Amino acid sequence: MLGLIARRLFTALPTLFLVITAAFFLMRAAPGNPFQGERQLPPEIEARVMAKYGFDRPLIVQYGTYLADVAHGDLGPSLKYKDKSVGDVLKENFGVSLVLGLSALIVAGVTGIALGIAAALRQNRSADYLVMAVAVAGVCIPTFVTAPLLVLLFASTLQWLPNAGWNNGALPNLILPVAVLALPQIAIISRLVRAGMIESLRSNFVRTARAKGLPDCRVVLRHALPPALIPVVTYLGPACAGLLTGSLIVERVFALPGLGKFFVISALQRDYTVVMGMVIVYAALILALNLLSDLIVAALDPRVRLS
Amino acid sequence: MSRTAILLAAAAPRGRSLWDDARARLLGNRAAVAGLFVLALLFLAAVFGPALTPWRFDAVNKNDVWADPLTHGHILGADSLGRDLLARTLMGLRVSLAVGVVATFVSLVIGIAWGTTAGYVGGRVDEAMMRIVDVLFSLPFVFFVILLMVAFGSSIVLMFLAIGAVEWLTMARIVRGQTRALKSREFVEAARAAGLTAHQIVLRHIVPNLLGPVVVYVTLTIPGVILAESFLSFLGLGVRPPMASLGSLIANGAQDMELAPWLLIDPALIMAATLMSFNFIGDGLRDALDPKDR
Repeated sequence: MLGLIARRLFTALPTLFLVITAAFFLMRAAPGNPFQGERQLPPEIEARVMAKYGFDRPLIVQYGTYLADVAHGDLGPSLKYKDKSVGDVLKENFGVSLVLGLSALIVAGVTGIALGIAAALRQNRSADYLVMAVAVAGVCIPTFVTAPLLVLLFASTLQWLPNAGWNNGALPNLILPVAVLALPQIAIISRLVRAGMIESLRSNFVRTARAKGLPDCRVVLRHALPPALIPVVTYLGPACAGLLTGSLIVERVFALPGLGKFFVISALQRDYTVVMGMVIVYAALILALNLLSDLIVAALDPRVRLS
Repeated sequence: MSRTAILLAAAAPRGRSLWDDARARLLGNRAAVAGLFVLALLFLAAVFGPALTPWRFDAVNKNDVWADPLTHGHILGADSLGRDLLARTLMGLRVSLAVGVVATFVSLVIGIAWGTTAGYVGGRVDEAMMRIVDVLFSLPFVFFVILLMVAFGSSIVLMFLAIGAVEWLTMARIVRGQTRALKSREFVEAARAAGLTAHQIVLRHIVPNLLGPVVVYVTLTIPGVILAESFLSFLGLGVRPPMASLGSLIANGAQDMELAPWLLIDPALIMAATLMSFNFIGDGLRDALDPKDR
């Protein structure tokens, strides 16, 4: 187990390094700089501001300094938000994204697994077809369609829920964004669970459990379900990536003060340090979740542990 | 000698190729056939539709602002600038489908080149090439595509390249796996014995045999690409107005949905129909071409 962790960390670090490098040079290759706004600064002042932040030095030197700073845990000052470091900006907005993402992940996991089991137990009956139809719709109808449509239905027309805003994370404000984020994941998870359950329900160990006279509910939950969950755990990494992309849309549609809302704006404003900070946080998050899902799979599946 | 050959040819039953079988199975799949039918209609509409509508997609009509459907000669109504929604939706469909097909082609070329090389050469090269794919796979690619579009401005060509460059990874994995399996087959050995170069073997004997899984994956990649393009357009980074794609139409429609919900609903329906058709066809093709599920 420790060997696995060490090996995975060994590949995760170069990946993170690659991410930082690519994002750094991509951002600097963009025309313009953070100090060109609506109010044009006189060229002399602009040059001095640039020099203050060290942007007049050769790019490769700046890259070296940035890497050294990041290695010390310093992401630098924000270039657009006055008197705030990138750490402050991330801290203020990360919470909202985290609450959204975690709630969506939990909702998607519970709902997806339940639907998948139900569909597998009633294979090729109407309940199965219904779940699979929902799954197809969930995959085919993108977040940026479901979000405005649900707002139109539940907020504007029925007026059951607020149409936007964070309101300190009040439950009514959370329902729509979490539902929108969770929907595509529910679709994928229920498909994975259904396929896994159908396979494991047919296998010998389930037949043995039935033959021992165990109650149905125990056979399904204790014997058939765990092996069917392995693909779901493997999907944890991609699911996290999907939630991050979804949050870019959801935070915009629902005007939520999360990280995703800032990413596009900061990139457009050339707020180099904030964009870099976000890319690093996102990449680290995805890598960490991939590692976590590998560890859980190794714990669940003895065959993986051996190889 | 020639007599026996003729006799043999006459006696041999007419063989059914893999493709005949697959076609029969595909046509027996109702969802896939419906998908093919809808998709054919959508393609025809995208190709010929914009020329047939009475309005141009970018024509601004001051008198028709927010026109309801079926008024002022606008079948689907008009938007905040009085532009005909039907013309814009057809144009948007054309752009989205074009992006889907072209970017998928880019990913196909890169993926096949990468995958066959890794799979055929094998050994250290294979390991290094697939490790690169693994590393790229775990990158938050959306953010790089966004950065790319922000850095170099949103041009359609760049979008083709950026999305295609992201989507080739899975293709490369599939192709590599197939190549490795094919490499040890007798006909490849025969080709090698006949003195063909590695280049010739890959192009003439391996690539044609990859077609099945590649076709399946292509039909599943195109909707992914259309989604990616629409995602960018929704964030305001895709096609530039007055050009339209399904994503930009949905984004505009979402802004005006309280006043004119059809501006959101119509393009969203077209988008859902497009994606669903591709997915049904892809699933159908997979069932038809995968001998395991027979």
